[in-house]
Amino acid sequence: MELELFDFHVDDIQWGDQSSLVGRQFIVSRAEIQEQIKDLTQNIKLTTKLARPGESKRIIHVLDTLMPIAKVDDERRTFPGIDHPARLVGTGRTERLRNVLVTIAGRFPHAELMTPIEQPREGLIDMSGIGARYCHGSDSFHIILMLEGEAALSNLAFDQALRYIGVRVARYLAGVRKSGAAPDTKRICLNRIDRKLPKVVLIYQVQSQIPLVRTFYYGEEIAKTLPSFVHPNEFIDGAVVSGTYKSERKIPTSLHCANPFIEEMLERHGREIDFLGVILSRGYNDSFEQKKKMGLWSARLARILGADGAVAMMEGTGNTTVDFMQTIKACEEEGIKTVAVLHEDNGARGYERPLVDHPREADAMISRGNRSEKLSLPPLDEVIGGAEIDLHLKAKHDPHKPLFFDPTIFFGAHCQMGASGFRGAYES
Amino acid sequence: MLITCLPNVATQVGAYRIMTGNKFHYPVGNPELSPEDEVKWRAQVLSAALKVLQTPVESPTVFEK
Amino acid sequence: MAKILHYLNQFFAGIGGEDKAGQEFSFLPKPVGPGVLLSDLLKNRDIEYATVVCGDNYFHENEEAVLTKLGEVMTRFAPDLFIAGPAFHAGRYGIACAKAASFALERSGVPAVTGLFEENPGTREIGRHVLVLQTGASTASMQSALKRCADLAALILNHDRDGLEAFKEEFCLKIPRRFTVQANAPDSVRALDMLLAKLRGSAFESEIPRIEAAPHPIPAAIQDLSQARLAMVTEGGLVPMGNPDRLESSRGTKYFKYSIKERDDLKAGEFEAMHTGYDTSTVNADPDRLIPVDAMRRLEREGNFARLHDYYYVTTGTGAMPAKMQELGVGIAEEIFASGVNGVVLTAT
Repeated sequence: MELELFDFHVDDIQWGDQSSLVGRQFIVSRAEIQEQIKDLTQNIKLTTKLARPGESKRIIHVLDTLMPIAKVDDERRTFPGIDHPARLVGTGRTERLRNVLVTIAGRFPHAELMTPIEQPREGLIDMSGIGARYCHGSDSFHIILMLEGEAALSNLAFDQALRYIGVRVARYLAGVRKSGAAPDTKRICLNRIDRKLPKVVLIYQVQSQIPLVRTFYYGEEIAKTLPSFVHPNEFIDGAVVSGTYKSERKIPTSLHCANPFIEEMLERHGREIDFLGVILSRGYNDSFEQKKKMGLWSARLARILGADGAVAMMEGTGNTTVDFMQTIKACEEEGIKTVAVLHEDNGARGYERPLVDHPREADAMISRGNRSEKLSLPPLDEVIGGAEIDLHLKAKHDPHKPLFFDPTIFFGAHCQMGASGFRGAYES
Repeated sequence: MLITCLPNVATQVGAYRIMTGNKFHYPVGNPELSPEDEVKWRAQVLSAALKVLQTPVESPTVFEK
Repeated sequence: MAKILHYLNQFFAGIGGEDKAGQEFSFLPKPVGPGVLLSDLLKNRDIEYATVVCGDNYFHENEEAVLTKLGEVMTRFAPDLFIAGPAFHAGRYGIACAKAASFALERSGVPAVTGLFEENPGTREIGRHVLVLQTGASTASMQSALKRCADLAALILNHDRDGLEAFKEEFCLKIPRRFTVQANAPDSVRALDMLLAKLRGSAFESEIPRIEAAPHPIPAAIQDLSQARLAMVTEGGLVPMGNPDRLESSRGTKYFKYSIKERDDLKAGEFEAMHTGYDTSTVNADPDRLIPVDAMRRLEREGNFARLHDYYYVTTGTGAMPAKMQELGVGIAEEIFASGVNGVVLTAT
């Protein structure tokens, strides 16, 4: 399975009459975007804005970010199965606007009808300042779609609409006319290797539990499914889409399709490792026995694939750590050497036990830093997306005022803290 | 004593008398049963819990239902 | 010219002893008590010295309000250095000093110093980068503590990095805690590097240590259950409909008790679960699924135990820090024990 990937980079983004990429200047047409999604925005008020790296802008109520990706000369579509019949992806040619994001921001029309567990969590993207290193997307150019659902829309309908809007605009922007633009080209393939290199899998544990807290594979909820093998090329083509709004702890859709772990393993394939592919598994199982079984199944799949070792990462926090650790334990017991990546919750004063669950078998941990450490966050010049932020259902805050809070207020913080190279360590 | 669906976390934190609950979302619930059967079931679970309260332990221990 | 702001309690400010621990927060535009000696030790420098005074009881009963007022003083006075105490072995004062110093540094970025005996509980409240001078246990060591404090103040005001490091090494308390630092590569790179080392059999160092919880005494088994009074406790956030006491839906900061007197079971619509960590719909449909009143009443009637306590206790777990939960647990335990309860059934989600 081979994928030819064309990565375009932009240096600036501006509104214009017709969307196009001219060299490294990306022109985006508001009218064209609105036209693309007019059937989806019947009961939704849409506002659009732009944001660039380094600008003093704070985007609030971020629900998801999507990277513009599109198949080239192909009837198949990226983000398969979401808004059209699914076809297998991961082969052929795909174009991406590598440092551009379609950013969906907004609030559900009927938050009052949600049980606490369904509630989205506040997520900020700071384009500059201290927060920029803690949130996903501060290094990208954003086309922000602010969606306000009218009362006639149910929460589920809004959930579906925002997902369809996101993938449609992302696909559309990737497919605009390009001139004078020279993309980086790669051939992505897990080719057979002659040398004896260690066989390695990536264990990728996502969160998918109930409506409004889901992850999709080819448009289907990954609920109560067994762990499965997924080819990295499928991730690149948008086969995995986020439908959860637990902002700081989620893997945004843009990170599903350009995941640093997958990229690192593809980069080292054939040189240091024999990358076998990805085991997509699911956490937050309902009982200890089910958590244990998920771990057993993931480990068995890794063994059948012939893995010598595994890197494991997870989406979420709290009880899903148990599913994760059961997976590590099971892998080690199947003879698969494992490294596990996780954030720490050492408390604001750094005294607390870092992890919810930490069995002996998890002896090779990579830390993403202490996510309970409070940060002093000055306001930025412009707030995009609303007048008030929600401090995780405990209080409201004016985003124009200084904020003293931990990284959990930032969109994609768990992933970004890792990507920024943060880790936990003892300090006297 | 503690009824929980995360008995391994409980042992790490140092709880001494632990019993595994049914499901994460309803540790002493069993909604698949009829209401009368569910109360009977729950009384059995709590009866086992009471036995745990009467059992000496040396270290964090997970009791089977 | 440099500005120093010094935090003292009612005793060291010369206002009074325990009887004056309710002293309200106040600002004085001059050195007071130990501050007089300290400012004298620094007299070769051009220093503007001010003091904030707060009774130890007043601080603990009005912490948020006191820190807000302190914040206002920090903004108005704009010190270059904040000093609290030294508190030696005084527990409540040490905690107040630690919190005040941490607040000053966190909110204003001003270097903050306090002085504590190593066993002072205030050491558990020290924020990152707050400097803690190691002092003796008694105020008899005040002179030497202040001399050291003056040396430290000079190093800070001179921006003497190396001198400060050497001073910290020798005279400051080492309070190891885990914070976020910058590694040399992203997690994805370090993960692959560590895996390759592990596969090769080379040495590697796990970045997150396994930490055993401190053990506590094992409660004795109940000998005669038929004589025992039992209570139910949960972290599942179950509260009377409407959540009258505003229990949080994550990281509970308080616990509450609610009456089950003369109730044989808990009905849907009378109770609801405030909790973001589990799907509460099943418990809301029948709250006995979390606080099993119906089952316990049955067992009580059958004589398995003597009496079910009139109240159940509740807080919200999910996302909570163990230390806070321990504090709440101690509170619940003390109340329950004082009520004559012999055993507890805890249900967790």
